[in-house]
Amino acid sequence: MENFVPPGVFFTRVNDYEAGTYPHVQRHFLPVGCMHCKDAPCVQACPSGASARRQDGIVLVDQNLCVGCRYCMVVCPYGARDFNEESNAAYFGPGPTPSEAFGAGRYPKGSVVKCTFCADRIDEAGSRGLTPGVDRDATPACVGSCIAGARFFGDLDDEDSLVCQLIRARGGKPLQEELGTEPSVYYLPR
Amino acid sequence: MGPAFLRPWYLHALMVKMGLRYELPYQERLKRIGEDLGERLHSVGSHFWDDQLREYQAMPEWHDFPGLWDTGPEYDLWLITCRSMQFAWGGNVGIPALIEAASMAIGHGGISLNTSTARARGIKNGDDIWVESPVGRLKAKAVVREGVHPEVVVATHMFGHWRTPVAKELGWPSMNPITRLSYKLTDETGGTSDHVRVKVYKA
Amino acid sequence: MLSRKNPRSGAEILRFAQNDRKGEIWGLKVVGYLFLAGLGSGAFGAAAGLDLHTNGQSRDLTNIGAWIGLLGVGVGALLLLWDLGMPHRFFRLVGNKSSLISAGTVILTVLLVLASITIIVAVFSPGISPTVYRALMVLAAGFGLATSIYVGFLLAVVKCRPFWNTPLLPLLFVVSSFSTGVSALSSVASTASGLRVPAAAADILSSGEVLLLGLELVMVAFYVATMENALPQARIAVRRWVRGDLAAVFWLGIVVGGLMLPLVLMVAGVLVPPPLVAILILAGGFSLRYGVLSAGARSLVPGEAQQAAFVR
Repeated sequence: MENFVPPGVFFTRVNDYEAGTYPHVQRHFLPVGCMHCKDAPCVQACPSGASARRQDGIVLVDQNLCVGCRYCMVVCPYGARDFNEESNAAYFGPGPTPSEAFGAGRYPKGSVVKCTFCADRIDEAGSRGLTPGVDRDATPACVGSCIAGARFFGDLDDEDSLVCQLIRARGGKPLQEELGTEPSVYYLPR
Repeated sequence: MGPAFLRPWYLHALMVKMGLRYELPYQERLKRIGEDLGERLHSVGSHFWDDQLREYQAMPEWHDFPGLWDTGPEYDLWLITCRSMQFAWGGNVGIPALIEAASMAIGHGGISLNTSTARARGIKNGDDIWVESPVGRLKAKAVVREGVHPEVVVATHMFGHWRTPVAKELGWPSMNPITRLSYKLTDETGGTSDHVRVKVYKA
Repeated sequence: MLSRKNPRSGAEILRFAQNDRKGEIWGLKVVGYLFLAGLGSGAFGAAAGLDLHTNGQSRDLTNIGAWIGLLGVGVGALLLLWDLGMPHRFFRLVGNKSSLISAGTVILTVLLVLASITIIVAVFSPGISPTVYRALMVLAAGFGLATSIYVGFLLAVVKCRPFWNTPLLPLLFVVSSFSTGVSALSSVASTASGLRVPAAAADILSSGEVLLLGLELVMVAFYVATMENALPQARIAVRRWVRGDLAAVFWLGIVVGGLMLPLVLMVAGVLVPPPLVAILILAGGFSLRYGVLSAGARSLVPGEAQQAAFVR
């Protein structure tokens, strides 16, 4: 699993819900996760400074600093964060599989974890000259694995990027804008 | 649309690119196969498949399908099944990551029934219910929703794979215990009927 | 293909996946801290205030207040440490000056130090200069107030939880802190023998208790009334309080047991031993924190309510 996510932890979720009454029913899917807000409440709330926003806008949790107070989980309007209760990311016992062992120790027991926009992938492939959102290796795993092609990734500061074009063309808006956290994730309406 | 690296995923694009054709006409082939199969079976004196052989037609005939179930009026609902998108065929129901993904999708872990059907039986979302057919009964959790026909209840059956290791501890319902195999309910492709007449009541 | 003998059970996988959807992030330990810190800071702050008011004549009260402060805030802080995912990293709690938790940690640490100094002075140098003691009391009153205010702000600044997001909450918490603190203070003072408590202080204590209870009752009513007309999650919270799963906590714990009954007993002059009334008031304070923390649900994004209902 990308990012070696521990059992029971979801970096991104999909809300599967219905609208309408029979026989005029629609089924909706809404993926929700960390919005990497420009004015993130979690960054302000974190007492140890573990939650911080990078230069390129990605909000990360420094696992060396997190104390597990969970205040960031309380203040996040999107419920994007999860608490890692287990020290070993092993779905099957006893002991981890080889790939789980490879990723072990990444998230200490008792720390808060969340979506990183696959920062490791972006950084590693970026150093090889690849472009996030265009080249698969430099793009978050969720975007690459969406079978419907519903997810797009790109540079919000570049007006000509695909994501900016889509937002303009289709009136993309973030969720719960009124809370003023300036999310970096936009939803394109039908 | 999706990013550029996703677009060659679909088969049609490849078919067009390679200049291939889809096989047509399907109906004539079906008729030919039926005749061929009938000759072979009858040549060894086998007649168990005769009912089904009549189905190998270019155009289907109407059958009183519901009439095949000779159950009483108390079994007023149809239990049908569906596939889970997360598990597809079901050989992978023991994969924990997929179990986690499936836990987010409506319909898993219980039997879906329409809101009005549930209300008429005093069933609320999450209640334990008995789904009973003439063959037996099955306990499950009710998933009360709008996207189901009022006369139908749906179990994500997954070919009974819920009995396999890891998956069996989930306790998710399978319709196998309350249906039966019978030639009367088997079609020409060998597909059995994943439907059964049931009645539903609160546990 | 697994060759392991004991796969983690499917039931456990599902339990993990569903656990975080229960919605409880902060539980009883945090409630315990909110209550104890409020009690401790209220008692010490009130005692310090009384000492200043009576020109340094209420030393016995401030000593009691210091003990209640030290124990209350101290045990509360230990509960917080216990609640941390990684308690051994507690020193990192003061790493972000914009964070209320960092600020609060500093504030309550200072309060603990002030309470300790007060106790040490009482034991080892009771003849300390009145001016120095006065300065100590000023600081104690100030930090006592600050501690009881910041815990309310901790919750009130969370914009996505409408039941908490009101300036009324820190006010309510301050009043509750001082009401529980004063109640603890006066009940300990009444049971201890040989104390010198100036009449002025005793008067303020007894009338202060009644006043604080009355004020708290009004504020709780006002709080519930304003939340009734607010965002969906606030209305749901009120419903939980008034006639839902938290009804016992609200009606029995907060309103009747914690406020109305003690108020009636004190006003009517019924001769009930003060510790009994104090227990009611303290239980009420705890119920208030418990009720507020339990009902503070986050405003949901589209589909989340249904999602929670459908998840097995």
